[in-house]
Amino acid sequence: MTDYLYDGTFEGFLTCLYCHFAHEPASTIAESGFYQMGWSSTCKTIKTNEKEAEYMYKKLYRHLGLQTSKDVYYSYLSQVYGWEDITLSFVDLCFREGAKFKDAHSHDRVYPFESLVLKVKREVHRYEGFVRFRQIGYTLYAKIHPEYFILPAISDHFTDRFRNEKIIIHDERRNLALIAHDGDSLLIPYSKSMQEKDLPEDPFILLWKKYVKTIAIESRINPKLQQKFIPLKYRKDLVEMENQKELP
Amino acid sequence: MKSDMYERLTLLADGAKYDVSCSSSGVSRKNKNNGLGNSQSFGICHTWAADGRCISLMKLLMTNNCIYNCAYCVNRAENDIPRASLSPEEIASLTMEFYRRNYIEGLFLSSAIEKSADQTMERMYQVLHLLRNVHNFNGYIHIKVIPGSQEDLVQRCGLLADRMSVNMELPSKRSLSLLAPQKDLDKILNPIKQISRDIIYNRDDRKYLTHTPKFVPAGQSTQVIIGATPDTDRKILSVSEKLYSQYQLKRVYYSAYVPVNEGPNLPSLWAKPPMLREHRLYQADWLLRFYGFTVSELFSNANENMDIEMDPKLSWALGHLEYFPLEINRAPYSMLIRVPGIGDISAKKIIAERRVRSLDFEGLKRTGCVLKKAQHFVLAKGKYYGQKLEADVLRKVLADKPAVQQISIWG
Repeated sequence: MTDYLYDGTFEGFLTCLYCHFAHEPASTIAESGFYQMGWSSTCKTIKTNEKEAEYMYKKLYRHLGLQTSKDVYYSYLSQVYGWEDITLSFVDLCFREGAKFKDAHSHDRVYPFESLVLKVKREVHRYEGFVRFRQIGYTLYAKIHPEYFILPAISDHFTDRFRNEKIIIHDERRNLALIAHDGDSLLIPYSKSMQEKDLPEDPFILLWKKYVKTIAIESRINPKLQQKFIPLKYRKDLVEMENQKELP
Repeated sequence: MKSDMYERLTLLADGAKYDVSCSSSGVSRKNKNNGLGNSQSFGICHTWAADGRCISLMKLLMTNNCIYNCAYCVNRAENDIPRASLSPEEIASLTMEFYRRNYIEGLFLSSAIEKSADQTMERMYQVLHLLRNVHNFNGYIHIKVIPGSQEDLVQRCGLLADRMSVNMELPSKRSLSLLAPQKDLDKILNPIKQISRDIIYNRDDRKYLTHTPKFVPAGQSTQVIIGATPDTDRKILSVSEKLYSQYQLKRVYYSAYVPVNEGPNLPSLWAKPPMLREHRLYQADWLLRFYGFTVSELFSNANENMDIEMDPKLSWALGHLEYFPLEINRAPYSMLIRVPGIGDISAKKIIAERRVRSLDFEGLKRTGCVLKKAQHFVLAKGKYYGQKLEADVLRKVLADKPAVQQISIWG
């Protein structure tokens, strides 16, 4: 049993999985920067290998189907501490005991994986609604602070939806930007030069805020219910949530 | 943009807020013709208003200038309120701009009847035409059908919209003649029948003709007001059941009546909207659509109204203890979803898992069902974990305690 270290990319993780099955079983997989050595373990740094990664992904796809192999990617997007071991344990179970075990939802090695994937999927779905663009020159710019690394997962949706527009979605926590135009998209580190300096006032923000305020029925006001759907942590990027009370 | 846009938008959104429907689901469409937008079959909510209702579509009236005088409506002719309207161009460009900023998923367009039903419907058609054919808008459009407008207009709108709805408002002829004397049941039912018929024809056509445009691909829905008239729950749900089975409606929305007008046939202005009753009706509605229940089953004990203290499934189960306890490792899907606390998602998980291995009580916990209720009605590997399978005992444990009500001095 060896601890495998990888470079933090999805391909790197897949290469580790490949080595786990092809060479020596891994006791744990961790990103090299976050690894803490135990007193009795040996560790090995795995170099990302495109070919092995692709082979492994095809294997996952063939063995577990489209949905579950996508789920493995979603669990990578969570980037929470220890997601690698949760996923390793799940994939290992399905490869050793049979693919049908992916349906054993309450199994000790399946349940943590599914819960993690569900959290990411939920946030991805939320952000399909929660991104707020602001028109700056000819581009639409949005700033988000998601908990998980969801930009790759919402990319297709926004690229298709705003085919005719130039859009930038800026994940400020990770300092990454998704830029898309004409059906193509790119994920790059964000740089200040993408943004013009002074933000002009967007007249539709005021209209939208007023609309959101008006559409609520006074005798049914229920902030608790509202908060169930929009937890406070999402509110700083939602323009309609800013100073609702002061609107004329 | 005209300078009074802010005021007019406020007025017309205010007039549209009592329409409940805001769903953007049922249609999956890619962005075509290099336009703006697409549609997801599961729908996307963009934000939630302070009353906790989701905002997915921009709900707007074209105008709140109405010739009708329905007793329950804010916009009725005799009310002294500011009137406004938006032109088709203004609505189309507002929709486009909101959509570009990802504020909304599409447009929900309704209107008061300004001159005649046909004239209003024609103007609404103009909006759809501008959005779909001029701006190449591929987002979601929900349009209200104005009762009494021509079949041909409804047909033309249906080819551009995703969902159409005709509001029933009141579930019986008598209530309708009492509160909305200018509408009658036939005027409302005719477009419902027409749309359901045309959807079926269209589906048939598309099997053989590849380029037939889709007609109302997300189906139709309707809305019923709760609590403005003495109609009972049983009456209301029977109407829904009929609409679902005969006309294949996607949804019936229930809207707890918010008193906005005074009138001899109306509850007083001090009356609170019957929110809990609305909630129970929605629960029962889900039982009709997804859980295989019928109205006669839900009201088997000759009650006309539902139990306020517990949800309709629980109250059905307490009346039919002969089906329980149910072994979760053997019960068929149709029975599993009848267990209080087990919904379709956990039932499907149970079915999937027991193909691999049998489930114990710990496993049941992890399916996400409401264990507090479900434990009393099931066996896991032959073992019972609940309190006691007796109606009186369970009623005491599971019924919601009625909230303390403030005594009203207004009676």
